[in-house]
Amino acid sequence: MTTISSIATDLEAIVLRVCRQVPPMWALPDLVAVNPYQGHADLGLVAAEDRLQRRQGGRAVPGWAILHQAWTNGEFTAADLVDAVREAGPDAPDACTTVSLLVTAGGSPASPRVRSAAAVLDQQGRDGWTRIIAQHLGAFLAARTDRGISRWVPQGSAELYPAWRSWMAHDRSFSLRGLSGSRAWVGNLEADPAAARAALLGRMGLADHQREDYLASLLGDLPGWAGNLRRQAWDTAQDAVGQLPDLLTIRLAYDGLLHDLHGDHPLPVVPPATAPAALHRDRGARMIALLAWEHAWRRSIAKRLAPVPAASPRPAVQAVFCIDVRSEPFRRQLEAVDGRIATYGFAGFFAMTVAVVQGAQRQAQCPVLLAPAAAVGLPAIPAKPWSRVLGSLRRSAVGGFAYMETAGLTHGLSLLRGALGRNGAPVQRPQESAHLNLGSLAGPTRVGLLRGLLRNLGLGEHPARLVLLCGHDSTCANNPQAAALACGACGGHSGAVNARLAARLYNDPELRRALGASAPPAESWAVAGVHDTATDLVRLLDLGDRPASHRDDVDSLRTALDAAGAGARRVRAAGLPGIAAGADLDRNLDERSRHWAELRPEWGLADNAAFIAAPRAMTAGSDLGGRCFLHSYDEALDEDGALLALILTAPVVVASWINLQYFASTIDPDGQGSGSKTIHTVVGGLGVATGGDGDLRPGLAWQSVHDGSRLRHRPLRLQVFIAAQTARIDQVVAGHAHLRDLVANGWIGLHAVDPATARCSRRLPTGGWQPLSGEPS
Amino acid sequence: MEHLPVLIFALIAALIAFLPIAAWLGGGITRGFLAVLAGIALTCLVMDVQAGWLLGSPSLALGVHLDRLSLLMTAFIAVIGFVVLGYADRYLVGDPKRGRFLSATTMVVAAALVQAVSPGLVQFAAGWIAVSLGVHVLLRHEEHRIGARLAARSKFLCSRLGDAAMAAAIAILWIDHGSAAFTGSWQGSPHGLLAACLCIVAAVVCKTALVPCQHWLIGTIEAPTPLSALLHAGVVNAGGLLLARSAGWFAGAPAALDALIVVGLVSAVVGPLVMWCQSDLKRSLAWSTVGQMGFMTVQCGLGAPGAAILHLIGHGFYKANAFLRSGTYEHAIEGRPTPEPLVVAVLWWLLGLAVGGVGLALTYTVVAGDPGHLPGGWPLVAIQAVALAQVVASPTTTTAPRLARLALLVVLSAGYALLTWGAEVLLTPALAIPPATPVLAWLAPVVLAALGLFWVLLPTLASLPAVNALRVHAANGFYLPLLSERLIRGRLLSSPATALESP
Repeated sequence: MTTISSIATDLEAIVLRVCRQVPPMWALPDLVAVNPYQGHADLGLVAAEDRLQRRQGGRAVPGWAILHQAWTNGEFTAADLVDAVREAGPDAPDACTTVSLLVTAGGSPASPRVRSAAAVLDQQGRDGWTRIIAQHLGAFLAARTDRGISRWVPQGSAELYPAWRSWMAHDRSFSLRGLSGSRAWVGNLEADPAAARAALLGRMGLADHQREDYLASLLGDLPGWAGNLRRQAWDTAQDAVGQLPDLLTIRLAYDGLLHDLHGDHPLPVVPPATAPAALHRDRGARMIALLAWEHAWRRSIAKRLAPVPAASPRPAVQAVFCIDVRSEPFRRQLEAVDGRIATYGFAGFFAMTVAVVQGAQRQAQCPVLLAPAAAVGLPAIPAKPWSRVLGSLRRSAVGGFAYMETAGLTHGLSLLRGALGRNGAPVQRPQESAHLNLGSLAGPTRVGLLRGLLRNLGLGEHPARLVLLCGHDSTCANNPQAAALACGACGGHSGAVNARLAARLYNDPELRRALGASAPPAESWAVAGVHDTATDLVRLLDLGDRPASHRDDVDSLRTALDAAGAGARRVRAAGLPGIAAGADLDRNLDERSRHWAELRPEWGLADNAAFIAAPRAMTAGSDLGGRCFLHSYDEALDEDGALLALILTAPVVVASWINLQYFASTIDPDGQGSGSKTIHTVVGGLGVATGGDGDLRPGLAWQSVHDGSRLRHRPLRLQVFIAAQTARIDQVVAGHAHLRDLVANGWIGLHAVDPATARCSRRLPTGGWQPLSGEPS
Repeated sequence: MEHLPVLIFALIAALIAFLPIAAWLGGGITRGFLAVLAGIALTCLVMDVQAGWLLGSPSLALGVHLDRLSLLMTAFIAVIGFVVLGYADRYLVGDPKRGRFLSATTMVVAAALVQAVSPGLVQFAAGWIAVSLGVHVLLRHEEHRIGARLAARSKFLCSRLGDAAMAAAIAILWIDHGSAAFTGSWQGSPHGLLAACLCIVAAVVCKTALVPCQHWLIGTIEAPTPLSALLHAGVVNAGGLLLARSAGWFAGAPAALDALIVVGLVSAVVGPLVMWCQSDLKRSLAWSTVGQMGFMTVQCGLGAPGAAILHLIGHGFYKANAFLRSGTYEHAIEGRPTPEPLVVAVLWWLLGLAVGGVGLALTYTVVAGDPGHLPGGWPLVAIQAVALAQVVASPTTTTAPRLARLALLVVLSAGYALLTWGAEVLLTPALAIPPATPVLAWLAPVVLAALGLFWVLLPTLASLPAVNALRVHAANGFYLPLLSERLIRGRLLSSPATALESP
C-alpha cells in the first residue's frame, strides 16, 4: 500500500519539477524577454543542450556554421582557442580537434529525442499526430484564453482538465481520424487530474527513471502554450505552476488515446541518457570555440575601460538613460556634442514600481521580477462608438456581407495610403502628453519612491541644476511583437510614464521638504524625456511645468539632444538594410518606422553582449558599438553594498534574460526563436503562431537577428563587468540562488574591475578570480 | 479607339514578358505597368469604351474584350497587384526567395488580367490555369513546412478538378453551341445549356474556395502575408467574374441558378460559424472569405451579378487591407458584450429588419421603380434587410445609443440601395441579367435570417449544451479541414511522410 502512495507522491514531485522548468511567456502587449533556458540554469550549457535535445529539440551552444563565420571574420584567434582549451580541462577536446571541426563547419549530432506515442507513430510516416495534437490542443487553449479575436466564447469549467473533457465529449475529430470510441474513452478517464495522470502514465510502460524525461517532452511539444499558462500563474508566485499540471494530464491523455485506440498501440520511447562519444566531443569543441570567441570579446572590453580620473568638473546637466544597449551610442553622441552634460545609466523604470491604470486597463510599468506597489492614472482612451457600431456590423452574421458592399469600399483608400507610403498622422502617444493622475499615490508612497530614486540613481549628493530622466520607446507599425522593441524594464512598454512620474516627484517641493537633508538642492530641476529608438529623436515631456529659471537650460539641452540624435541616426542608418547613402535620414527613418511592410524598423537589442556597472568615466572615452548595457555604479557611494546586490540580482538578471533570448533565437531560430515573421499570425491577442501551427511561438523572429545576408546578433553570453571588490561580489553571488546558478553554470561571465586602475579579473566558473590580461597569453 | 484593346493586350503581354526581370528589379517596373494599366482602364471606364479585338476565329474567342465589366475588373486587379507587389517588395527584404515570390506574384496578376479581358471561356480557363500555377509557387514559399506543402497540394488538386470542370464546360459549348464566346444567344439544346452551366458551377466551387473546396484557401496562412492579400482580394474573385460573364447562359438554366443558391448558402452559413470560433487572426479572415464568397455566389444565383461584382470589389479592398495590416491586431480585439434578454434582442432585430427593409424598398422605388423587377428582385431586398438589421441588433460593447444606431441604419439602407442600383446600372450594358427568378430564391433570405438571428441571440444561447456542442464542431471547421487533409493524404498513406511532396 505504501508503495502505491509513495509512487503517487514521487510522480507529483516530478510533475512540479517539469512544470517549473517551463519558462513563462508574456502576452503580446507585455512581451518581455525571458531566458529560454530558465528552467535549466541548474545545468551548464552542454548538459542543458543535452536535456533540451532529449526533450524538445533545441540548442544551448551555437552551431558550427555560426562559429565558423566568426572564425573566418577573425573575431577570435588561435591564441584564444588555446586559452579556451586550457580552461576547459583535460577531458575536453584539444585545440586541433576544435580547429578541424571549426574549419569544416559541418552539422552537429543531436541527443536522441524522447518520443511520445504520437511521435512514435509519426516516425512510421503516418498522419503527423504530433502536429495534429498541437493544433487541436492549441485551438482548445486559444478559445479559452482569447482576448477577443474569436467571437463565440466557449462555456465551461474554469479548470483546464474538466473543461477539456467536456470539450472532448462533443469533439468528433479523433473518431473521424480513425480512433473510434475516442469520446467514450475520454469520458472514462478519472475525473481528478492527478489520478488520471498517474493512471495514464502507468499504462505507458516506462521505468521510474524514464518518467521525468517523458513528461517534460510532452510539455516540450507545446512550449508556447505551456509558457502562457506559466505566465498566468506568475502573478501568484514566481514559482507557481498554475494549470500546467492539467495541461500535462491532457497531453498525456492524447498519448493514452493513441495507445489504446490506434491499431498500432504505440508506446513512448525514452532513449538511454548516455550520449555517444562523437556527440560529447562535438559539443565540447563547440563550447571551446564559443569560449574562445568570448575570450576575445572580454579582452576587447577590458582594453576599452579607463581608470576613473581623480576629479571631474561638476556637470551642468545630468542625463539619466535606460541601461538598454541602444542608449550607449546616443549617450556617446550627447557627451560629444556638449561636454557639460554628464550621462548616467539606470534601468529605465527609474525605480518607479508602479502600474498605469487607463480606463479598465491596468499594465505594470516595472520589470516582471517586481510587482507594482502603486498605480498612477492616465485618462481613458475615448471610445469611438461609431467605428464600434460599424465593426460590430462587419463581424456580425450576414451584416458582414452588407458591410463589404458599403463601408468595405472605403478600405480601398486605406489600401492606397499604405501602398503609397502615406502613413497618416504621427502616432498618438497619450502616455507622453495626457494628464498623469497621481491621485491614488499616497504621500508616504511618493516619499518612498523619490527616496528610492535618489538613492539608486547615483546622481551624487549634489545633483546638477538640470536633470534629464530619459526613458525610451520605439515607433513601429503593424508589428505584433512591438513590445520587444520597447523598454523591458517598463514591462515591455514605453518608459515615458515612469520618466514623467519620476520627474514630477523629483520636482515636488512638498516631497523635498519631507525628505529634509537628503532632498535635492533647491535649484535642481528634473525634466522627463523619451528616446525613440527607431528614429533617435528625444522628446522632452511636460515642458509646460518648467520654471522660468530653467527655460534656457532646457532649451540648450534640447539643442544638444537634437544634434546628438542626428549623429546617432547617421551611425545607425549604415546598419539598416535598404537605406541609400546620402538619404534624408530624418525623413527616411520616420517613414521607415511607420511603414506597414517594414519588418526591421530598427535592430532592437541585437548584438548585445556585455553589461558594465561602473562610473561612466571608465567607459566614456570608448566606442562600445551599442553592444553594452551601461549601469552607473560608484562603489564609494554604496557603503552597505545594497545597491550592488540590487544591480546583480535585478538589472543583471534582466539583461541576461534579454541576452539569452537573443542567443537562443539566433542559434535555433526555428525552435527557440519564432521563425519567419512573414508567416506570423496573431493568436487570441496573446502571441504569434507560424502558419497554421497550433502553438504560440516564444522568442524573436529570424528577421530580428538576421538581415538576409548575415547575422546581426553575435550569440555570445553576457559578459558582466562590475566596478567593485571581488569579495563583495562573491558575497552577493553566494546569497542569491538564481544568480549563483547563472554564474556557476556559465550562463553569464562575471568580472570585477578596479576603478582606480581599470584592471579586470574574471570569476572562474569553479569559483576564484583570475586576472584578465589585455593581450592573449 | 479601336487600338485600345491592342494597347491593353500589349501591356499585359509586356507584363508577362517582364516576369523574369521583375525578380531582379524588385517589382518597381511591374508596379509602374500596373499603375499605367489601372489608369488607362479607369479612363476608358469613364469614357464608356466598348471595344474588342480577337485573335483568330471568333468562336474560339481569344483576345481582348473591353466593356464596363472588364475595365472595372482590370482596374481593380491592377490596383490590388500594385499594392501587393509594393508590400512584398519591402516585406521580403533579405528573404532568399524574394525574387521568386515577386515573379510569381507578377505572373498571377498578369494571368488574372488575361481573365478579366477575356472574351470567351477558353481564354478564361487558360488564365485560370496560369493563376493556379503561380499560386502553387507562392504557396510553397515555405516549402520546408508540412503545412505549406499540404496547402499547395490541396490547391493543386482543387485547381485540377476545376480545370476538368472547365474543360467539360468548354467541350459542351463547343459541341452543342459552336462557340466559346461569352456573347451571343444560346444555339444549342437546353440540356446542353444546363450541363454547361452546372460544369461552370463546379469550376467556381473549386476555384473560389466554396465549401467543400475551402481547404486550400485556409492554407494560405502558411505563406507570406502578401500572398493572402492577393488570393483573398484577387484570385478567388475570378469565380464571380465568370458567373457574371455567363449570366446570359444561366438565364436559360434556372436549375443551375438554384444550384448556385444552394452551394453559395452552404458557404455563407458555414464560413461565419467557423470564423467566429477562430482565435487565429489570419485563419479567421480566411474563413470569413469563405462566407463572403458564398454570399457572392448566392447573389449570382438570385440573378444579380451586378450586386455580386459590387460585393467582390468591396470585399477585395477590405480583405487585402485586413491581411496586409494583420500585424496590427488591437482593432480586432473587442470586449465581450453582455447578454440581453431574448425578447429584447429579438424585438430590436425585428425592428431593424422592418426599418432596413422599408428604407431599402423606398430607395429602390424612388430611383428605379418596383424593386420586384430589379435584378434579384424581392429576395435580394430581403437579404439586404436581414443584413442591415445587424446595425441595431448585433451584440456589441459600443456606447452608441440604440436610437442613434437606428438612424445610422436608415442612412445605410438608402446608401446600400443606391450602391446596389448604381452597380446594376453601371454594369447592365455588359451583363445579361437572368429575367426569371429561380425556384429556390426565397430559400436564401430565410436561411440567412436564421443565421442572423442566431448571431443576435448567441451571447444568451452560448451556455446551452447544444450550442456549446455546436461551438466545438464549428471550432473544428465542421471537420472539413480534417476530411480534406485525409483525402489529400489518402494517396500518400502507403508512402513515408518525407515523400509529402506535391506533384
